[in-house]
Amino acid sequence: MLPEIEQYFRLEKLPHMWCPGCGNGIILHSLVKAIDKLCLDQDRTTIVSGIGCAARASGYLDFDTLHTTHGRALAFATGVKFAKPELNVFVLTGDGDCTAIGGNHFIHAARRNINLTTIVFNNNIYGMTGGQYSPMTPNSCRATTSPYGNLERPFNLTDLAIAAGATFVARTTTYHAKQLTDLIIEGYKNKGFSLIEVITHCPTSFGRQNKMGTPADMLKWQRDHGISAMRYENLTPEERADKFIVGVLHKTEAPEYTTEYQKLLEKLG
Amino acid sequence: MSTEPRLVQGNEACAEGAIYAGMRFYAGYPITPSTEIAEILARRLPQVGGKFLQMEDEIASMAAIIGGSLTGAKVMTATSGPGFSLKQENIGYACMAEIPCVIANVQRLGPSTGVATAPAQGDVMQARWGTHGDHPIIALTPSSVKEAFELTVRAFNLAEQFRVPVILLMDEVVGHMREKVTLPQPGDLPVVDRVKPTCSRENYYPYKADSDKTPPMACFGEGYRYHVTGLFHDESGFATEKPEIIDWQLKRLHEKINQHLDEIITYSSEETADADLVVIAYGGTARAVSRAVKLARQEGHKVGVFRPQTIWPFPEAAIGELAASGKKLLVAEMNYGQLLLEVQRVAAGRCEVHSCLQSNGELTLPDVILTKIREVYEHAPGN
Amino acid sequence: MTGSESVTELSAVPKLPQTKVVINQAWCKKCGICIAFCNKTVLAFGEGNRVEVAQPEKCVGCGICENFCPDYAITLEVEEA
Repeated sequence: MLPEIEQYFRLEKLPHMWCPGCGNGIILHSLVKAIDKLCLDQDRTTIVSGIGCAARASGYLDFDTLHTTHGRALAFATGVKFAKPELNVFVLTGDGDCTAIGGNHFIHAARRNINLTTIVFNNNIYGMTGGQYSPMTPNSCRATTSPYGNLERPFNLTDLAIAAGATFVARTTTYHAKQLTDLIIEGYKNKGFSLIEVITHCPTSFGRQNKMGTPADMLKWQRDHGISAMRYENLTPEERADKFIVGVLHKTEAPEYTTEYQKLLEKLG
Repeated sequence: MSTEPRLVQGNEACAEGAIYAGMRFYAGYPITPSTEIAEILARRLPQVGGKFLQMEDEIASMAAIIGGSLTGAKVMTATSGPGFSLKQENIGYACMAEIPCVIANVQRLGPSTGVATAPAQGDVMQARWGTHGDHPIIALTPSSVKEAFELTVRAFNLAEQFRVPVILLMDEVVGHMREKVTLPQPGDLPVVDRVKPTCSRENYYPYKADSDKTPPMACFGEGYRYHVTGLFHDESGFATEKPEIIDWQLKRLHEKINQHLDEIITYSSEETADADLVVIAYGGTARAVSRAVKLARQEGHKVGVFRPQTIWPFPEAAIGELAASGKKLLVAEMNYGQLLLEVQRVAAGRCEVHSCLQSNGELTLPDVILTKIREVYEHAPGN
Repeated sequence: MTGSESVTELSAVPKLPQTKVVINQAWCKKCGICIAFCNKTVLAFGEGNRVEVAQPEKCVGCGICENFCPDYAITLEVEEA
């Protein structure tokens, strides 16, 4: 770890609890670098997380950190941000946490366009409970609760966020760690609800059940399947089938909720 | 606030009481018969610089107020039966993480959707045990409009003092009733704020308490940079699975309430001194009971009323005294016998315990209670 | 610019003078990501799958190992000339 980012970690809590090769540590690394580049005041920054592997991230970071209940990170974070809009609030959540049990909170946080920077650690599986399928598990993939292959269809989370009203939507992977830092910076700068979906690898639960190889193999899979919009445009439909775009997918401007409420207070005050 | 008496609804008194107590952050989801609290606060809070937020559901509302409380605000939500069930998840979180907040539950008839506008008192045990795991809880239950105001203020004071969720267990009768009252002026009622740490960040342990067992609470954004979790945690706030630390934490959570029972528990006791029968009732039912007891006295029966304002922790000592003195007890409530179970437990066979229970969506009328009082006397040995 | 391009770019950086890969063995979980992604075979599994800086002289200071290490167990130190 670079000495300049050590200050953002609760070093005494490391090494973290994630499995060998888990991508969550890479995401956290990118987040911290983004916070460092943004020069955010550590005392005025809050990290909110839900439940699951990804949600444990909050405990390793040296900020005000709120490890909440299953799926509710965005609802807690909405309370923090609305009560004290001057705080920088990042939400760290997993694909199960955010899109299943927390799905309702997700669409409504996006709809309100409340100024939260949300990073979804998408490892396509419930990791902490031992590998059950999530709403982001691809069709036909194996999980402990889809032993014959997943019959359900996964969400397209970025499309969902756009439809729900998020004003900054991006996707990348743990392989694209540097890009992730840039996207978090851009997401933070957006005054509204920002979603950054990070496709990360869970070698223990998803990788093993779906014969994805080593953690390094899973990173290479991300490298080979996550491509820029420009490259994607030049592919034939057949070539696109197993590819996805990494980078900014949507950016727009809309009234931000806490700002609008502040205007109301000023009008009445 | 006007010093003139005016007609005030119970739910309005609750909303105004909350503002009086310093509540400046409300998050909720509309549900009958509590909705007026949200409607009034949506209008009133921005007038006093406060925040009103209508969340996507009751779970989110409860989560949002906990988030708000962590920034230092006094917070509340209001709901009714079905919504109260949904809030239980994060009420448990507030117990565990020691987050001051107030949950008004204007009870309606259940189970399930039940009857939205019908009075009931079926959430007594849910208020006590609705969230999973062992935890103490404070629940207050007003039986008049004036008391709805006062107990709302008190609910905030207790929440702030002990860093706990406090449940204001109203019912449809009290919530929708209008009475002519003069609302208290600033200074009339005490208002308590949470204790904040004065030490440096290095010396701050968010869950380290002195002898009163309630730790000082830092606000997010003030430089303490601490961790909050619903997992069992040590003094530093970080998760643990060590049995001895879990034991320490769970005991402290109980002790911080149990060693202050005298401060927390209040009740009103009318004509119990010479009574040979004491009717125990709360909320809307207690109003009918007062009337029935007056009529029974006119008939020559020595009947008194014991009305808990603090329903949880249960006023065990006071009811134990009544039982020990050999008085008969009659529990009247709008459910199939919830507080009755507690009274029977405390009486422990030391006195007769009777009940007058109704759960059909109608307020128990004084006549029904009076009939029950007469029955108790008619069947008494020696009559 | 996508991340994959940035990685290519980084590995093409000419050899930096005096870089040293330091491994914090207490945090390393031996996942092998650093070894798999080091283009210059600087890192290798040693005895008991311990990650070792087998060929330090080959390091070009690209920083991939440090960036990809999920456990923050690698620090790339730039030594005084």
